[in-house]
Amino acid sequence: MTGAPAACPVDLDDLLDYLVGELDGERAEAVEDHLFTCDACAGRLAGLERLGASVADLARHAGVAANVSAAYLARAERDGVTMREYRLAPGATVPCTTGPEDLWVVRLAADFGDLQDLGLDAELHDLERGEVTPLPGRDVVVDRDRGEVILVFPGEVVRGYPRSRWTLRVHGEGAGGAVEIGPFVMDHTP
Amino acid sequence: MPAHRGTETAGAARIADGELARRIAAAGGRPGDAGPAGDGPADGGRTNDAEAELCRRYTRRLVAFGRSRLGSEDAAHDLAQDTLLLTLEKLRAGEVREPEKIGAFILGVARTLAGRRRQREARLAPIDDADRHLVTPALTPPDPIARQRVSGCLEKLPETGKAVILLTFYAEQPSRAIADSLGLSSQNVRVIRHRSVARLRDCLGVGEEAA
Repeated sequence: MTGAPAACPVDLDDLLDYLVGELDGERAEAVEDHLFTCDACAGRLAGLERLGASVADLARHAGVAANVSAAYLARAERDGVTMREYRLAPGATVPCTTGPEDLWVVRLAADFGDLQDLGLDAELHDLERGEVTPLPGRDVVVDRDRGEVILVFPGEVVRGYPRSRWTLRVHGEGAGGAVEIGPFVMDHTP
Repeated sequence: MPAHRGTETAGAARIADGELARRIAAAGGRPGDAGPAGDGPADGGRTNDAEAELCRRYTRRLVAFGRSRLGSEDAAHDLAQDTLLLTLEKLRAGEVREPEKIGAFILGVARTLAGRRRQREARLAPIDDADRHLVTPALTPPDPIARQRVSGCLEKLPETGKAVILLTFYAEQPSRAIADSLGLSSQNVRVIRHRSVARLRDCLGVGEEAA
């Protein structure tokens, strides 16, 4: 494991599993025995805790751009995060906007079946300048419980875009070869 | 690796845990008897400092222990407070035979109390909330790292790694639930989490903190 300070002999992975409550009985007890006699390892655990708390703090302030699952949205709702959600089926175009404090949520709903190696291609059409720009492709994961690709963005970032149209396409590998699903179109007004 | 250090109680910052325990044991009695720190007799103030420092050093460890054993944030905080209160009472009464092994003693108390809680066995005598407040410090959440830095480092992770990190630390989902929703195995989720946390630590320069 990289970055392991020599002062703490407990494996970082074990400390992390312990922190999230997923270390099994005997190993958890061994880690505890050491933690309560070693300031260095207790400090390392505190560092992991701070890292996790910082990630949660960013998420609570709608500062995350990521591909998530419905559990993430449920937590944001419990935290009172203002969400602006758009759910699109393939071929649909939806008008959209956002506020600077919002979490901007895009839910691409389709039959993703057992597609593997999913990726997302996007294209930005700047309606003020008439320019079309392909955006970098990215891997995506599907919330298999919902059958959706769920994307979240900070409203503050989305609001910075001009009047524009975003065209999204999901692609993946199926039993019969490459498959493309879409387009999903967002008609954006800042 | 830069280390973040919290404020430590003046006069007790470099003292070994065992020495803190010995000071508390030597003074005996309740800290309130000697007056508030800084106002009363010199020994009373030192005892208060020693008690506060010992509690500060072990609170975070105890809460992590409580989370792991009891699965509830509230129960973990209660367990930490009850453990420290009982430990101080034993120290003051001279019932801790090896003060130099105070860490192991605290863990033993915590395990006993957690076991009782889990099994809903014999209840301890109720602890007065005012006493809890007096002897055990509230656990303040860790200072979050600047959001812009966290965001920048998260952006460097692959999408799956980012999702696993967010679902773990924000949505507080166990590996099994993350695996089910993302179509992965639990083992795969754990491996992704290990790798992603290691990368985040390096990117953010997070090492050892004040425990």
